[in-house]
Amino acid sequence: MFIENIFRIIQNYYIDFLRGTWVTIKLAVIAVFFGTILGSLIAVAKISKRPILAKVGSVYVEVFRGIPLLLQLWVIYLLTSTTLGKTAAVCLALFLNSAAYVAEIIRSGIESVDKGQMEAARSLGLSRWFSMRKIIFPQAIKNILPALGNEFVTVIKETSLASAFYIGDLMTIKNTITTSTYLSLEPYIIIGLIYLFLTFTISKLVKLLEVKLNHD
Amino acid sequence: MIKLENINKTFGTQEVLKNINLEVKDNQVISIIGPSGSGKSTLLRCINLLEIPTSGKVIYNDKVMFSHPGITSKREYEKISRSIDKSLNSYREKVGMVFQHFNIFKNLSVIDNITLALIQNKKISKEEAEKIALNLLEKIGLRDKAYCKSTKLSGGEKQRLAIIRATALKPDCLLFDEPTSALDPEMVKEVLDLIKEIVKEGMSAVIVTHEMRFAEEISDLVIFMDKGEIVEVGKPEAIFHNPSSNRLKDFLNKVL
Repeated sequence: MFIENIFRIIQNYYIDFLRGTWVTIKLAVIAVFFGTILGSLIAVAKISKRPILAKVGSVYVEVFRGIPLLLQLWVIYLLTSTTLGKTAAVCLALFLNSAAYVAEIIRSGIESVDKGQMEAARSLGLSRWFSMRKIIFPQAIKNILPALGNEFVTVIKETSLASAFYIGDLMTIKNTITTSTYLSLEPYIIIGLIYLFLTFTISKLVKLLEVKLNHD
Repeated sequence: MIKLENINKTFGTQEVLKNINLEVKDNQVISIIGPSGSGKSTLLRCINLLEIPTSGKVIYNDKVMFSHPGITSKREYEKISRSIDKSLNSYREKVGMVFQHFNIFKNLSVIDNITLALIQNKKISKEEAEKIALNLLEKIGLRDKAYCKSTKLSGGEKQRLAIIRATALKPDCLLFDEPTSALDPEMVKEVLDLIKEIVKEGMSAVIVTHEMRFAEEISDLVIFMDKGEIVEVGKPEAIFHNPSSNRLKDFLNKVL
């Protein structure tokens, strides 16, 4: 009966699942993409020698990592959804949150590079920013990329919270199906498997990337 | 050429350098010897201002690169290091440094380690920079490894690359921070020979080293430091064969 239901739901609603998966991936890509841009700026601010910039950077990271994402989603949604629209408001909240985590990933990546590299560059009369760009960042990327991949996996799972706002992501599909079939467990199982497929695939890709980077 | 006046450096409450005065003249080779923890490396790093002294003056050809009566807080330290940061770039081109752990740029090929600063600082074309680099690599027998990853080199090769990387910019003075301390014994000679060759071509050098025989042979002046102070300064013969202070006598007894 249970298995039968699962197959029937897949048969009848596969288009909705695909659409939901697509929305979820889109949300995650947007969140990580803009999160990486903002996160890089915050990371640079955090390691800046200017005390004010460094403070702003660490306050941002503390605030966005210290408050539950669902609450952040609600606050940003209530503040911006009327002007930006529902989906954009959720995207905004997701990437502002992701930026805090990405900032920490990038900062630790930069700090993992041997201090001697910067000193050698500076001792040749190269400016701090030039040395950062040509010597430090390229070496930090090795440590950053795998961690960034894991952040992508995390964000994919976190997009499920966006279902609270009915913007068509994977979790929202569950409500659509339950309304017309009165079944809850079955769609949850299917959605869970789709999430697992996504995260597992990305984890494997990250692993491959890691091996390749270490090999180079 | 380079003058250090009344340099003091404290880390927290620890006084690492106490009232150091030092002058490096044109084409002069100075060795700094002394027990570990005596402040030799810190002094060297104060010369090119990789380390900002707590107080004192650093003068290069009558130009004051740093001068402060006494930095009291970390905040002030950051502020001062920021304010002089830009003016130091051209100074550091003229006063290069070679490190104990080579600090070869790991993400760059052997040749790019040399050309990076050449292209950026001297504003010359990539082709021209590569020509200069290849000539220098030829000199140290690494021409055939020019396009290899720099991480593939041996320790001795890395240090020789680091030395010619610094000389490529045609500095007036090179600072050597224990250039052979991290090397396997069989690679020490090739590095020391290269240093000798380079200073012979006409360049000042300040060398922090534990290689006493090398220091005696290469130096015009030897400085003995202990506990953050310059205890004795003199010609190599005087320092090594006729030490006057007990501290230097003790030190030489232990290392020779």
